[in-house]
Amino acid sequence: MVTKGENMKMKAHSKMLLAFLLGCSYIIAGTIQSSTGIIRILSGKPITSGLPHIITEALYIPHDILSGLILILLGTVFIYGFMELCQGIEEGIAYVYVGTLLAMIFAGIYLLVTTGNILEAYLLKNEDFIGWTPLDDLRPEIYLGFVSLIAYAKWKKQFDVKNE
Amino acid sequence: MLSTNETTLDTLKPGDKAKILKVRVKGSSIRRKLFDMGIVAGSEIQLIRRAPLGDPLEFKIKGYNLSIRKMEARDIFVQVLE
Amino acid sequence: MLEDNNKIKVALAGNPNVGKTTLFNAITGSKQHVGNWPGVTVEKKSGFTKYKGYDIEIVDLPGTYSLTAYSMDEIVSRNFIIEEKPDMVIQIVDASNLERNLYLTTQLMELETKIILALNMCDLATERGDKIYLNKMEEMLATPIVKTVASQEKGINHLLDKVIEERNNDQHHGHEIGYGDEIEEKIFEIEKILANDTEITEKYPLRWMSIRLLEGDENIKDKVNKSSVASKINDVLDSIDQEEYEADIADKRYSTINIIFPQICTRANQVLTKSDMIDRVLTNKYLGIPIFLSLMWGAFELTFAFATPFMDMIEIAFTWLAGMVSTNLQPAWLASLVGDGIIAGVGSVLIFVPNIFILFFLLSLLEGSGYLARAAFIMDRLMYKIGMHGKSFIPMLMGFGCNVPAIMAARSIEDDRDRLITILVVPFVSCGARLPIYILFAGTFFGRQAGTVIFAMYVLGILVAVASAKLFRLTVIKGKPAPFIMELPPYRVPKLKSALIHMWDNGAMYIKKAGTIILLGVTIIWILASFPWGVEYGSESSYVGIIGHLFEPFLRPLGFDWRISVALVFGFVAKEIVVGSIGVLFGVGDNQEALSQSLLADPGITPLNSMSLMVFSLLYMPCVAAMSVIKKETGSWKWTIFAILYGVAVAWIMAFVVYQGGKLLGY
Repeated sequence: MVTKGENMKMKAHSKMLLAFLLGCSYIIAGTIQSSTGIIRILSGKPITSGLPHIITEALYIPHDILSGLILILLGTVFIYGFMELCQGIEEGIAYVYVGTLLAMIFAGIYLLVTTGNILEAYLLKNEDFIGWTPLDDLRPEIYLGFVSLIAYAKWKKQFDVKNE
Repeated sequence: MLSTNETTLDTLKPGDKAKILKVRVKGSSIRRKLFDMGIVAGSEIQLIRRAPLGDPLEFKIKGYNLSIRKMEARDIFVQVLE
Repeated sequence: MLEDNNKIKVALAGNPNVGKTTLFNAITGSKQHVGNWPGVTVEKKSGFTKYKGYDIEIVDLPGTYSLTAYSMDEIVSRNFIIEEKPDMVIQIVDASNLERNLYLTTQLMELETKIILALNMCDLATERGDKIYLNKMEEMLATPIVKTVASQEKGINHLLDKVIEERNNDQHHGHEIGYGDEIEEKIFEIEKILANDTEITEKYPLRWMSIRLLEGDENIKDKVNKSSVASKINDVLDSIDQEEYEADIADKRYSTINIIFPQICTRANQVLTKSDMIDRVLTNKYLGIPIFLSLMWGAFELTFAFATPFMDMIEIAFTWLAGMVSTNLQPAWLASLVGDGIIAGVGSVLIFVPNIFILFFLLSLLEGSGYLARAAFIMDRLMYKIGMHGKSFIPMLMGFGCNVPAIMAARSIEDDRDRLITILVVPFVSCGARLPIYILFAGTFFGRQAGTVIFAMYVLGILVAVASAKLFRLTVIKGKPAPFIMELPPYRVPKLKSALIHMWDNGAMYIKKAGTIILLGVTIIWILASFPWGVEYGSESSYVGIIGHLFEPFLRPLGFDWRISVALVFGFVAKEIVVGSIGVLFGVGDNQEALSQSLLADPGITPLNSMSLMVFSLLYMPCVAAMSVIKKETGSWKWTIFAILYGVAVAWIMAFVVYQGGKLLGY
């Protein structure tokens, strides 16, 4: 009994850690994505230099307000779950579960968009896509979504723990 | 035991369980629909949550989740169960 | 005779969200026919299968909780069972929600038809720890029961075996509910009176009809009132307290179920299910609405970004086809009809097929997952305030993509008036096809402010839709939105097969429309643009040009000359044609840059004119495709014409206010 309880606690801890890390990553990425989006619109020209440029280039973050807000929202869902788990509310796991689901949905959406762009660039040879590579479409939604996918695959069984 | 526990469905708090006493909703087709969905005297019902904007309400009844607006819930009399 | 012996007609009944469509698809595969029930816009699906030498026809009845005539669905279902007398009814029963499902069973039994219960989703129930005693259940309900897992196509053959077995079984069985001495006495009394009318006895089960009368069923009362025994029946009905009887009868049905239920099923202790967990998050007080909006945004992102390459392919194909035709087809007028008229016109409408397919696919996923019901739950408060139902929100939102699927999606709204209002206001939601008009004019005349102007157009569309809904509620479609009594089904992983079938059905319907009404529309426009014979296509001296001049006095107060009038006439086919035809009329063709230049140079077009034009284009008339689905979905020319006239009137007034107001302010 003791070992099982300990085991459960450990799992809860690792899920809390996951929720916290993913939550922070999404919120940070989202904040950068939105704020550079705002800068781009206010200045009326694309960002091509300075610190924001270096950061967003390195992390593949586009400059877009709306999708940035969605990243922040995803982060909030994870943090919500983290906070409930911290308070000992077991149901907080629901937020981590739905958070990973949403993260995977948005990763899926952008992967499909990329698929569409691949068709444009290589099949239809659209002029707008000259010089485009699939790497240009890499964005936090996609690579952070993969982290969620791994977490989901690993914990798939345990998210069902309430059904026992 | 007495009428102290008697109230209408819209006043429940999330998590509260109650037993339906009387359905006084006006309009026979609405009333019949409520009957069909299991809102009959004697049924046990639990308020799960309110919608994010406060209305409608989500209940658990007969093992499934049902949503009703406050307006109809106001005319359904229940006895709150401890 | 022999042939007849091999035919079996089966009706498929059941509550919504119990896997009925999945089972139907599993049995019939692709051999389906989709149409409407006569006289109503409730969808009728039937399919065929051959099994062990029998031809089995399956008719998928609309999903209902009951047969008490609350909605059109319920009336259609029970009329089918009574009037068309299928050999038997299969009721799909959700094993994880037996109580409410058995309520429908009790009503089916009273219709005196053979019933087979398909106990579906047993996997969910067992997973949850419920135990169902099948033999006991068969015995207590006196009905054959087959276990199925429709989503994995399990139990289908077993079910069909049972269908054949029952077909060849003459014995009629069924459990009858006793309603207690007082009610039974009345039932008996009414039955006796009804028995005097041979027409009724031939057609209806008497006990069922008596119970329906005691419950105050208007539909049945109408039927009886036309019969020879009307006055006697009314005497009996006047002597009772209907409301009391109605409650007692429903009560009795549930209490019978309550007696049976514990003997056939032990339910595991209620724990927080996975579905409850998901719901906690998705309907969370603070996160619920943002998550909903972000999912909708994602759906649109996907619809448009993913559809683009396919739209490009269609465009390339049609351009190639038009080129082929214009170079190879003789005589020239035929080449022009086929090339400029039909191929260009149909192509400009078919280009939206990828969008429509994707939108329907996503809608079906949302519905299958159970989230669509939550969307209505989340948005109902807001929608109610503007005189609409929570279920109207999704169709309105889809309108931003394309009005056609949006109007078709309004089918999910049960209440006729709620649905009509939704269909009538959707055309004001600015669809994707109107965007090129804004881009051209806002981009040309408003420079840096273009984004704001375009955004304002979208907002104006929403405001007009909301105001119109309010106005309709106060005038032509009086009353309050229907009550929100709705099941929130458990979340499930949506079925790809169902989503694909749903997508194909609706997409095919759109393509079929493109083949008929739209084809007719574009041909008429082509004739108007090409005649009298010899004029340049769409020029001032063609009939279109003449119509443009005809409309000019009417459109002059809005700041439009004959060329704009012509473009607006073309815009009726599809709004994206407006830009193209303005190009032709200003003599620059397809080149956007050149078009911008010549618009700027033209003294007849000022920023104010263009603003007025954008407002008018936003509101004036649904395109041919939208109009044809309005006709199809409302089933009424009256409302279709109303939609057109109302749209034109609103557009005229708004554009007038913009143009004349702007002039007064000195722009």
